[in-house]
Amino acid sequence: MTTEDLARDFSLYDPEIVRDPHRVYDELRAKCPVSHSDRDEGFWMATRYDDVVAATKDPATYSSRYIMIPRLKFGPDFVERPPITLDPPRHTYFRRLLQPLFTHVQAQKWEPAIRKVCRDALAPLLAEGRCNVVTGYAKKIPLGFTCELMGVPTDMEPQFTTWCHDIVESTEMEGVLGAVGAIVTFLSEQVEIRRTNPTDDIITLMMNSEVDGDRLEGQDLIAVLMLVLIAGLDTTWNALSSAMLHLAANPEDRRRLVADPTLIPTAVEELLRFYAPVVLTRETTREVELGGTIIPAGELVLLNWAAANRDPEVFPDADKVVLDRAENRHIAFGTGIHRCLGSSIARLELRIAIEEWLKVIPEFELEDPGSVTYSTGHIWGPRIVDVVFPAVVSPEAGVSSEAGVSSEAGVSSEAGS
Amino acid sequence: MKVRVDPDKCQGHGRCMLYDTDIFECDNMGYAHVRGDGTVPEADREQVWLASLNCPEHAITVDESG
Repeated sequence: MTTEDLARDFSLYDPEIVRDPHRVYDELRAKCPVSHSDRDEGFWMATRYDDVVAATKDPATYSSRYIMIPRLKFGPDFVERPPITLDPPRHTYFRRLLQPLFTHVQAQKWEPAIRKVCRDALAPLLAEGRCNVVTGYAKKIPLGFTCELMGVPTDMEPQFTTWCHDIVESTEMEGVLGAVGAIVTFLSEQVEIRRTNPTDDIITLMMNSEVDGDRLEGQDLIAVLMLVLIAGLDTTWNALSSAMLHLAANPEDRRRLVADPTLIPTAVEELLRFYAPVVLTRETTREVELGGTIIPAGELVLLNWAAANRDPEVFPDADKVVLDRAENRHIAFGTGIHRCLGSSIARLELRIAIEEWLKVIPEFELEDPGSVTYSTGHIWGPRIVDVVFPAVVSPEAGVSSEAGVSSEAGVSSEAGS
Repeated sequence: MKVRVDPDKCQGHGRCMLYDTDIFECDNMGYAHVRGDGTVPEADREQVWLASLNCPEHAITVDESG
């Protein structure tokens, strides 16, 4: 296949391509850094770090009005998802309301709650000695934590989890819309409850957040809550699934982190660079030249942060995972004004989830490397990662793990207040 | 050695806050700035360099002569 064919045939929804998308990205970056695909109604794609950064930082030319292929990915009624689908100045207004709730300092307050979610997810796995790390662990971390963050009542958690699953993973538009409707109703009820009974979760915090005396109300409030809810789920679990797959398949890296857990925060950044899960589009507002290619107005351009993160012009040994990489300006969370709002929470979840797993399951390996499958679409990561490990059967381990959980639980309710 | 954060470039990633130093702090929007006049204690030199090399926005400048 020629480079031209590769470019023309590229699709995020092609199961063959997503098994190893970087094979395509590497070739396009080297030979055709701004390419055009004829699939999925046609779109452009930038793969070089400098081009991707330049476009991401020019919201006047590259509008966030449509950020996905196809444009109406979440249906015609859910086009605007503030602030991710907004441009300045409306974008600026929403960021000023939301950003204070998600800073690095704020995120640290959630550490005990995240640690508890991780330990609760690990406890039932220990005696099994095997699991699909994607569904058995990685997914449970952001789902469990999102319930905590949103203050979802415990008896609602299974239902809530099903809705989230339908929105993020349903391939039928009907499934997506049904779940969106259910969550909108649920969120509206929760907002009403908090008007008279304020709580310490993100819903109340968002209701009380002010910019110039203004607060979020009505549809805007629900739309923002919806985005916060969805944006933290499959993004985080795909990043974590890729990280766990890497550690299962690379025993020397895994053992290095077990021997020196202080390396985990640096390793998380490297794993984010290498396995960046999210790529989104922009729509050009005018004809523009990018990396020597002319793109007409009104076109979708896929800004490929994942490809940019493996650009050898910027990262030495770009195609290798270097756990202690010293200089690492990866853009897995984007760059510029749309930098992922939840990035501090996401990296906290990744760090703690890896720490907690390695503490109790330091040795694990892939059961069958050939059985690993990948997601299609804008959020990339493995779907099946079956691992095996020595089962932990000692009763002491169970008791101490539960003791740890309950003591952390006490801290967690405090942290949320 | 002195360090500064360019407020026009910082997007609040918080990468600099992950390093073990008392130099960086952030405002309520998560945007970083340096404490005091940005003079870096000897013990923090390496961590400050790392913060600078990991800022995705190139917002952190280190001045060795300062």
